[in-house]
Amino acid sequence: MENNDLHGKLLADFHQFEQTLNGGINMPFQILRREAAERFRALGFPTIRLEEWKYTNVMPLIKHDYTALPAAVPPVDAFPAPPDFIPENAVKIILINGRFSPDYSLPDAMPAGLGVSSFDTTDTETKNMIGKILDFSDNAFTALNTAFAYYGAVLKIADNANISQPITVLNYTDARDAAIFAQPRLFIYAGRNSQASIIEYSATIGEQPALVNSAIEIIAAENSSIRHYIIQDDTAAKITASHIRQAAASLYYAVTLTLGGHFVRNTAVAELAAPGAEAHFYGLALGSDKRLIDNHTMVDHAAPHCQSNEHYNHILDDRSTAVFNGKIYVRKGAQKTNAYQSNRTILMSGSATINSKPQLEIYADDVKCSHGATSGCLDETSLFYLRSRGISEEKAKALLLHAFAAEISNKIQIGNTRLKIDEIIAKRLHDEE
Amino acid sequence: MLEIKNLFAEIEGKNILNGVSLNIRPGETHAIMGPNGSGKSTLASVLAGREDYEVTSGEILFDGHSLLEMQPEERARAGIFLAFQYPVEIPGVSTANFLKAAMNELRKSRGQDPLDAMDFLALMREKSKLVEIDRSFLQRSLNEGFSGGEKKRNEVFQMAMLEPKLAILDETDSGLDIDALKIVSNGVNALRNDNNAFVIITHYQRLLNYIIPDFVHVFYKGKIVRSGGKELARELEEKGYDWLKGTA
Repeated sequence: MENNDLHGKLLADFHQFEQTLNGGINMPFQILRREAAERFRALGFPTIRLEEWKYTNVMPLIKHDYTALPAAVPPVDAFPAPPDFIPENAVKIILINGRFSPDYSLPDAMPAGLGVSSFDTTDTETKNMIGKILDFSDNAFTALNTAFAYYGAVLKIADNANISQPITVLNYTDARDAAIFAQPRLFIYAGRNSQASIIEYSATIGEQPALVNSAIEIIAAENSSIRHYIIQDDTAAKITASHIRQAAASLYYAVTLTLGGHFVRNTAVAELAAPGAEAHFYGLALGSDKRLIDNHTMVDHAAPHCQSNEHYNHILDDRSTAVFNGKIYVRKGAQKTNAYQSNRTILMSGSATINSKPQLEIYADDVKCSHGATSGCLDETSLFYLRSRGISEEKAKALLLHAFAAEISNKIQIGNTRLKIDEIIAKRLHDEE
Repeated sequence: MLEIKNLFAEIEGKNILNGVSLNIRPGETHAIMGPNGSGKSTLASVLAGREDYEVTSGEILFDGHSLLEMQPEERARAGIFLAFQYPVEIPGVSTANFLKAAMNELRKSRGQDPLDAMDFLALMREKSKLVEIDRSFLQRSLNEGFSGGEKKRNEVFQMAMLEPKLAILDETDSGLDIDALKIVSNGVNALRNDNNAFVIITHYQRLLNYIIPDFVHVFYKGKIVRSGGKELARELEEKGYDWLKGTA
């Protein structure tokens, strides 16, 4: 199914791309690439006739003449320095135009227990794990990423390692000379009893159309904890997919802050595959102008005695739109599941829209699941209370919005990062001194 | 200071105030009593500028300015304070942060510089003693999870911080046990002076044992049916509100 010019062009690019991979043609990941390209051919780009893309029209994004084979990769100093919410001591993993750049990423002293490599240089055991859990069978963008991922980055956290320095993944895109469609890819393996924090941030330079289609796979071994902070404030359109598979007693704690960007679609899946696993998803979306922010999450309770907790807040102004689709899937046998979901939206304008769809599918009988979605304007009674103390209507709104946003940004557990992000949010919501 | 002239107000087409007139001078404390639904709290809301109520006729002058043309925040800046019957819970905004914003806006409107952080802290420390509020309390989200008594004490604390000219206490005694009632009353009494005035709205005479009013007004069916000195409150307590039925 060729549903637009870009679809055909990308498939042609894929053949060209394959030729450049001399020697690696029968490597496990290369076989997967071919399957993924084939899947992309069959699926075509999603249209709004598909339930999963009903409110998220990608057609305006894919009308550009992108290439998936970016030209020369510019040096890292072409891009702005990392923002100040990234801790000074962070380990920096840099991808430019979707390609992992080891030259810029490997510091002299890597923290003990952290291994960084790329898809082609990593060990055979890891090579065999890559691509196994991120499903591309019904997502054309994930298929495309899998086909084109140009030597993604691999992070391996050793058993029992406690990495105290946050690991920052910086995705840079150069859209100065031509339209670009980047496919960054990350594979993370967290060993038994390990602990790490990951901050993801991306930035784009240039005025040409840019579409960043990123994908992450995470395997969390027994009793590991991963804290994952995703800060989205990019000028490029973003489509992301993540899938974490969690072993017994592991913790995955994700905070996704969508502060900027005209088009953002996040698809996040946590698979609670063994007893005692725990997943947290926190999300904040600030919408203005005609921006679109779409969060699709799925928590797959596949084992008993697991917990999940999900809380997304949206503040939507002007003609912005947000989509929240939260699926909780409790499989037969996943007894004693505890799953909680909440999604709240403040609409600041009559032209802003929220499409919220909590989806609970429960096939076990001894579970506690709850979900709730609310949307509306700022509470008049609260506004009046603040105004009755002399606070202007504008400032009162800003205080209430900032507090609502902070419910999510306060989930960041890196102190200085939390403070700096809070300053950015305060500024965006006009709650300044 | 405050002149209410033949005020009529309604909500959703229903008349609540039917010709209220009242004059309040600096240094005075007025108690407004009356049965439930007589319009006492409506008067408080109209004075503070709540938009749910529509004033259909009459006027209110505050220091000679027409109050009805002012936004709620402008009234607060002019010196009006309403202690809410049901203080609102504001998750995520600490009492300290909220008061700093309020105080700086009041100061700005008077052409004063914002209070610096140290002075603000010192002031909070001083005023929190007045109503026996623990300082840890001030860092908590405004009224969130506070008991009824803690919320009312917080209202009086805010009043102490903002030093209004005219404070309206809307059923501040409701839901208070006797100890909390004493703390709140002591706080209010400590703030009384020759330049400010208080309107105490209450259903019961009990509070007026601790805050002694100069005048007592009895509300019935949306207007003042009787005014007198502090002894009127006791008379009302003895005879009950049924006593009023022939008067309206």
